[in-house]
Amino acid sequence: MLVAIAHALSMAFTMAWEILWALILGFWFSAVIQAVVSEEEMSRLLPDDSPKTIILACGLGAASSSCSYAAVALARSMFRKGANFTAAMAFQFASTNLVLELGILLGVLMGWQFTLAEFVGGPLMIAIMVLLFKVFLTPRIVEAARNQAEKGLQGRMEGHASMDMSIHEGSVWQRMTSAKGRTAISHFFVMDWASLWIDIGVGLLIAGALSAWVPNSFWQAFFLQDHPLLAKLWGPLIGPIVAIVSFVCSVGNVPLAAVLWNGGISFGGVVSFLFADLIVFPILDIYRKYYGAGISAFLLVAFTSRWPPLLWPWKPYSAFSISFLMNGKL
Amino acid sequence: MQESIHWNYTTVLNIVFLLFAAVLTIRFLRTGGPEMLRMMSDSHHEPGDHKHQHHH
Repeated sequence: MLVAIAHALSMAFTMAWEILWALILGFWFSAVIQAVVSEEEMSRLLPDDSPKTIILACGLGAASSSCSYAAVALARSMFRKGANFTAAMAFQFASTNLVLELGILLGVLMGWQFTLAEFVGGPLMIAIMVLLFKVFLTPRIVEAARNQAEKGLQGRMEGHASMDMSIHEGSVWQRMTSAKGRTAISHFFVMDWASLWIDIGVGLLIAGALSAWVPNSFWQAFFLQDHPLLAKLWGPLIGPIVAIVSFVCSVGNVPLAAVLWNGGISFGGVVSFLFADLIVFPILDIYRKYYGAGISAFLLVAFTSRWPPLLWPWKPYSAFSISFLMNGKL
Repeated sequence: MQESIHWNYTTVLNIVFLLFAAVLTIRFLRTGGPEMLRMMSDSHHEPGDHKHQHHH
C-alpha cells in the first residue's frame, strides 16, 4: 500500500518538475499583462456582443489570470459594472482557455499540436457560444441574470477578482519597468500562485495516482482503442465528463490531460477535456449563485454544446434543451 | 515521461526560473504583499469595493 502511494507521489512530483519552469514563466507573463491593463477599462470596453467587442473580450481574457474561479468572479463583476453578458462570458472563457501559461504548459507536457488546438479551438468555441447566445439568450433571461447578479452572492476567489493593481501611467514598457510596475507584477505573480496552487496540486496528485495505479489496458478499453472510429467520437464525449467529475480546473487539468492522452483518449477528447474546466461542479454552483439556477443550466448546456465538430450532429439536441430550459417549451 | 529527475535542460530551466520566482516573492514580501493576500482571502469583500494600494 505504502509502495503504491509512494509511486503515485513520485509520478506527481516528476510531472510537477517537468512543468515547473513553464508554470513560473506563464504566471509571470500573466502577471505582467494584468499589471498593465485595468479592470475598469475592461468593463467599459465590453458594452455589446458585436464581433469587435467579442474579439476584444477574448484578448482581455487571454491577458487575465488563468484561475477559473477568479475569471468567473471577474466576469460577474464586469457584468455588474455594465459589460454585456455574452461579452463577459467570452472574457471568462478566454481567461481560462486562451491564456499563455496554458499554451506553454501544453506545449511542454504534451506537444505543440495541443497548444495550436488551444489557440485555434478556443476562438472557435467562443464563436459557437456567441451564436448560441444570440439565438437563445433573450433580454428576459439576461434581466433575470442581472437581477440575481446584483444580489452579490459570494462565490470563490472574490478577493482575487476584486484586486486591481494595474498601473495606468506611461507606456506599456514604462509601466512594466517602473518600481510600481515591478511591485504590481510581483503581487499578481504571487496572487495567482496563491489562487491556483490547490488546483494545480490536486491535478498533479490525481494525475500521479491515475498514471501509477490504473493499468494502460484499462485506459485502452475505456477509450475504445480497438475501434478507431468509435474512439474518435467517444473521446470528445467522455473528455468533458471526466473533467466535470475531476473537480480540477484551469492549468491543473493539463497533467491529467497528459495521462488521458497517454492512456489513448483521442486528440478531440483531450481538447474537449481541457475546454470543460468552466463546467466543473463547484463552478456550476457558483453560476447558480451569481446568475440563478436557470442560467447555470443554460451555461452548462451552452458550454457543452460547443464541443468539437465531431459532436455537431448532437447539436440540435442541445439547442432544444436550451430552448426548453429557458422557455419551458421545445 | 521520465520517472526520476535527471540533469538535463528541464532541470537547468527549473533552477533558473525558481531563482526568478524567488526574486519576485522577495519583492512581494517587502512591498505589502502578505497584507494584500489577507485582503484577497477575505471573502466578505465585494468585487470592486476596494483597490489595493502599493507600498514602496
